[in-house]
Amino acid sequence: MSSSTVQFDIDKVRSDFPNLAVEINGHPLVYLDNGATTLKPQCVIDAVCHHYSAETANVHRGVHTLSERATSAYEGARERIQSFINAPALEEIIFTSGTTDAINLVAQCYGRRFVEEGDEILITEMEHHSNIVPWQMLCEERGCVLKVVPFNDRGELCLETFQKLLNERTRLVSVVYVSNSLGTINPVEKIIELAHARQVPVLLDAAQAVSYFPIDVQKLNCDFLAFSGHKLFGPTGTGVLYGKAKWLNEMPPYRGGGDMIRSVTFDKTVYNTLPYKFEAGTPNIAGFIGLGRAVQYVQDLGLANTHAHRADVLAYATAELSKIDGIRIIGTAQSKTAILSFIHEDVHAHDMGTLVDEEGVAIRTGHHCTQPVMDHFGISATSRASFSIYNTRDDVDRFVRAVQKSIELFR
Amino acid sequence: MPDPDTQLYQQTIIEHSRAPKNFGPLENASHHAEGYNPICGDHIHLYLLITDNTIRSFHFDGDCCAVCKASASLMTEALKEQSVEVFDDVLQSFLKLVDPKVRLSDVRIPDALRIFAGIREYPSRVHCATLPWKTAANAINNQSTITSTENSA
Repeated sequence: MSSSTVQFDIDKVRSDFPNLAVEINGHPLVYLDNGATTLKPQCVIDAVCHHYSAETANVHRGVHTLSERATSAYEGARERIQSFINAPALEEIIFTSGTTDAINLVAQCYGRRFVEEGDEILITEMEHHSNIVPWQMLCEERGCVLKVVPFNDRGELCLETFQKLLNERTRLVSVVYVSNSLGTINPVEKIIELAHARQVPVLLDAAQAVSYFPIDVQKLNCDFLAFSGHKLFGPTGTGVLYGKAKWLNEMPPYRGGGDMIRSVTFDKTVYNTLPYKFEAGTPNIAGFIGLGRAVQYVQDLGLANTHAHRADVLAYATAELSKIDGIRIIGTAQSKTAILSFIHEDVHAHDMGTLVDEEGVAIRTGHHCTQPVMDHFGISATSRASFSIYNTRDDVDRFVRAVQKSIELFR
Repeated sequence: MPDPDTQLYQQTIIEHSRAPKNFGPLENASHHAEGYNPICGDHIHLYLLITDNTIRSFHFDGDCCAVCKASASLMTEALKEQSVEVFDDVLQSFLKLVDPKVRLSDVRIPDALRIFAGIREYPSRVHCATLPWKTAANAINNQSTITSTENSA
C-alpha cells in the first residue's frame, strides 16, 4: 500500500484542479461526491474557454476559418474518445448529452427495430433509474417485458439467476458496469459471454466505470457502451454512446433535424451516415472539445497508474469508517470501486450530509437514483462518499472526523 | 461557523428528533394523510382527531430526518387543542419563516417554532421542515368533507 504513489504524483494532480482550493464554510473543501460529478482540471476549463473566446463557430457546415477550426477540434475529440475506449471505428462513437440520453437512444432506436410484443429486456436490481425507466417506457410502447436480475446482500449479482432469466425471448441485456450506490464492479465479461452464447446483445452503463479503469470495448466485446463526460473530468451535458456499427446501421434515427440528414425534400429524406444519423441539431461543441481535453488528461495520467492510489484510499476509508459504532456500510462486494455508501443507526443520511458539509466535506445523501437498491436493504437513503484521483488519506481523516462529530451531536 | 441564531441543528431540534412528542399512529383519527418527498426519501404520516373544528389529538410517525421529525413534533405540540383556523394561520406563518424572501422581523409565530428560522440558510433542506405541515394541511383539507362528517355524526 505504501508504494501506491510511485508512478502517481498526487500533489501535481491536486494542483490541476482549481476547485479544490475553494473553502466551504470556512474549511478547505474535501470533495467526496465524485460519483455525482467530478471536478474539472484547469486544462479542460481552458479548452472550453478557448473555444468561446477564440474559435466560436458552428461545426460541419461552415467553410470559414473559425468553423474549420471548431469542426477540427470537435471531431478531434471524437477520435480521442475512439482511441480511449479502443473502438474499432470512428463512426461508432455517437455524441449524446449524457449516459441517460445514450441509454434512451438505444431503448428507442434499437427497441423500435428489434423489440416486439412479448420480448424481454433483461436488467439488474442495482440499475440507476436511467437504466430502468427508458426500458419501462419501451415496455409500455412495445408490449415487451422487463426482467430483473437480483443481487445478494453484499451487492453482488446472482449470475445463476441471470443465466436462468436469459431465454429465446431476451432481446437485450442492459447492465450497469459499476453500481453508483454500492460501488460493485459487475462481472460484465462473464455476462457478455453468457448473453452472446444466446445471440443477445449487451449494453453496458459505464457512467461510474469510465473514470475508474481503462475500458477496451473490443476486448469486452460489448454491443453498446454508454458514459457521461462530466464524470470523467469533462463538462456537463456531454456523453458518449459506443455501438457496434452492425446494430447502429440497422437502427432508425433518434431525433429528426439538421446534421442527421443527407438530403431533404418533401417527398423523401435520406438520412446521414453514422455517427451523424443519431446527432440531430447543433451539438454541445464547447462541451465535447472540453471532453476531448479531459480524455487526453486521463490518458496522459494513465488510469491504470491511479488505481493503486484509489484502492488504498478506499481501503483506508472503509477501515476508518467501520471503526465508528453504529455505522453500517451498504455495498460490500468483493470487487468494488472507491464508492462508500453507509448509514448510521441514529443519524439520518440528510442530517449527516448537512452536518459534514459544515466541516467542508461534500458527500451525497439520498437514494442516489437507485430506489430498488434502497428497497432491497429496507432503507430510504444512504450517505455516499465517492473518491477520485485527487482524494487522499487526509481527506478520509477529515471526512471520518466530520462523521464522528455529526454522530456526537445526536448522542 | 454559522451564526448561532441561524444554526439549523439547535439543541431543541436535536432533542425533539431524538424523543419526538406525539409520535405513533392515532387509533381514532378522523383525518390522516401520508407525505412523501421523493427527492430525499422522507416519509411521514399525520393523524388528527378533529371535533367541533378543533384538533383534539395530533400525531405523526414515519421514516424521516431529524429536521422533519422535530418539525412534526413541535407542530403537533403547538397546535393540539387549537382550531383548524389557527392551524391555517400558523401554517402560513411557518411557510414565511422558512422563506428567505420574507423578512424575519415580519413573521409572527410562536417562539417554539421560530427555532426553524435557520433553515432558510439551507435551501435544500427547507422541504424537510415543511413536509409535516403540508401533509397535515392535506389531511385536514382533503379528508374533512368525508371523514369529519362521519366523525361529527
